[in-house]
Amino acid sequence: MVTARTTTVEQSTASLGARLQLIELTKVYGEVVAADRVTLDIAPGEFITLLGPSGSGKTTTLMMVAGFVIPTAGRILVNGEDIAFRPPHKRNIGMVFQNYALFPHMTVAENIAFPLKMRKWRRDEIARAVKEVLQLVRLPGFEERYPRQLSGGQQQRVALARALVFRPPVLLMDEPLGALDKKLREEMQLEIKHIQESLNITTIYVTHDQEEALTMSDRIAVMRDGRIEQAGTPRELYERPVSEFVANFIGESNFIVGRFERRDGRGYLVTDDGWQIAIQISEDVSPGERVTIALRPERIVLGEERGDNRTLATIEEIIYVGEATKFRVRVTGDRVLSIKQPSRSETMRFRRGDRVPISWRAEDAVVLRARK
Amino acid sequence: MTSSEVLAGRVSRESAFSRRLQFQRQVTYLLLLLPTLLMLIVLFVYPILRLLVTSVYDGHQLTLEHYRRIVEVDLYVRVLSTTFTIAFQVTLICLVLGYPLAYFLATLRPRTARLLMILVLIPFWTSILVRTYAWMVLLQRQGVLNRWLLEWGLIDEPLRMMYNRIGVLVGMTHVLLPFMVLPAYAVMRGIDRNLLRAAANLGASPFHAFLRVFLPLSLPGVAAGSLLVFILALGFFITPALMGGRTDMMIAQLIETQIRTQLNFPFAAALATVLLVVTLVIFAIYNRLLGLDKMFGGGY
Repeated sequence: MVTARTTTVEQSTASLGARLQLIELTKVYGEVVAADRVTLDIAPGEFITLLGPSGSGKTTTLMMVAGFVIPTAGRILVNGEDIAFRPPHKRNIGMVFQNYALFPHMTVAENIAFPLKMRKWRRDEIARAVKEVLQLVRLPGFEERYPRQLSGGQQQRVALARALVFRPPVLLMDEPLGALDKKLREEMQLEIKHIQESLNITTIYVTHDQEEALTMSDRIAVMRDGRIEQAGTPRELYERPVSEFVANFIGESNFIVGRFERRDGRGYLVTDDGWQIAIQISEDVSPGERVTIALRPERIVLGEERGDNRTLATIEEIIYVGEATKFRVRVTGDRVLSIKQPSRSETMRFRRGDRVPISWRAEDAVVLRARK
Repeated sequence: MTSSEVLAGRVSRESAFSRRLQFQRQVTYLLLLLPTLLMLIVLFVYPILRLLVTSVYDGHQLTLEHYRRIVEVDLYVRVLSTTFTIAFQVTLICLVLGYPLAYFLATLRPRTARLLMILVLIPFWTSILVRTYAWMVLLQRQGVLNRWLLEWGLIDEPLRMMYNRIGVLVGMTHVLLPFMVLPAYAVMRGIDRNLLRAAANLGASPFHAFLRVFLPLSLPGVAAGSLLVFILALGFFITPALMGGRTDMMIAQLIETQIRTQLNFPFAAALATVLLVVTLVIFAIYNRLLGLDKMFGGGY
């Protein structure tokens, strides 16, 4: 059959990831704006994560791309073609569901063959594709098992295989690792990432787990109240968060509020009680403006005075978490700061109640956008 | 006393105590069940067994005479075949009517579904005799339905919708429909909606998603419902007696005639045994194929 062969060829060329653009995508339920002008330009083969707490609109956005939620406004372009109002079964987008959604009455092979049967592939081509994709997810020989006979991790792999077998240009994943234990989750993160890279498939991944997002993503879009708060590479988000929300959602941060001042070509944050903190000059803020700075706990050095900012602190709490030790210290004006240090002998010698110097460099503090 | 003796003494006292507790619990259980057990045994189990015995024992020797009569006399063979045919037809009609209804209920929000379920259950709770008489009022020659049809000029003379198969099927379907809808609904409710989304996402049109995913997953409920309807229909009495035709007799009616007018208890007992055995066999087949424990959902 010539037609079937053509389909295969088309499918395999289409396996090069598509460019996916979400333009002002909006969903309103009555009074609630579940997704508010979500705009993202996702490059072919890019792995982007929608990260946010529950109710932030990440799942709604994903469901609009999949076609299960009809947008109130906005466009969804796949290689320039608007699919926003196309029924889900005509979108050719792969998806891994939160609970895997494997068909319980079908074997692994039948589950994986399902999308190919719907596309009227030839039987021998289906058999070959199923075999190949099971190799890819490292489950060869599992064809005849039923989903209930598989472990959570294996079901996860089957779900992934089923979403990939028809070579969709876009893959959606809705908290796919939520049900797995920590160790397996970390393994699967890397494995999914490798498979995604090898197929170069454009991927939107939804999670509320910031570590997962950092590990897997080329780019992360942090969502809050239906809006994208900030989108950028994991490093950008961690090092240059634009808001308190992002700085807190990805990693931890200390926040200090004050006025921005410039003196002798250097920038300072001056708190209401007169504490002067050297910070980098930001072009976004003008002198006198109120700003918040975010300071990562691990950027503060405990027991050494080698940064632009030095002060004395009293240790109030010490929490040993294995590879690192967390300290809660009290500084000027009854402020409490979190500090995180690698667990080395130098840091282990501190005791609660000790009065020790702490320091950090000006560039370690991030000036956040003024809050609306 | 050595410490091991102390320990041994404690162990034996402990086990004596736990034995006594267990005994007390068993006595309690027995007391709770006793009234019902007594009533059932004295008034139901024993007489039934006596009756069944009379079907194979004529007071002097074992005999299969009554059973031979069932399969040899044309009339009785016809009653058996009528019974099965009617039960099958009712099951089929319940299936055709009940499946879409259960599907509709299962797609509604749970609250709305529960409200509408009451509409299914109200007839379920109403006396079967009342419902059968109601149908007679509607379906008889001078009944409501015939009058309307005549008034609207759709027919020239009254339709015969009673004292024949139509009446029996209408009446029985009405009574038995909930037994199809309830288990089918329970199983359909349990089907993960994400499976249908997954099917759509993988390229299945709504029709294919239904055919390949929803339908097979709903089958255990359909099977349970069909089984219930079929078995209940086999032993139906009131509706066929009141609405059926004279020549369309079912086995329960035959049993009743044998006892009330012929006073042929042994033969009636043989007929009852046949009905009982057939019912048990159907249950056994169902249990083999699908499992009785899965009758009300939780299939996979």
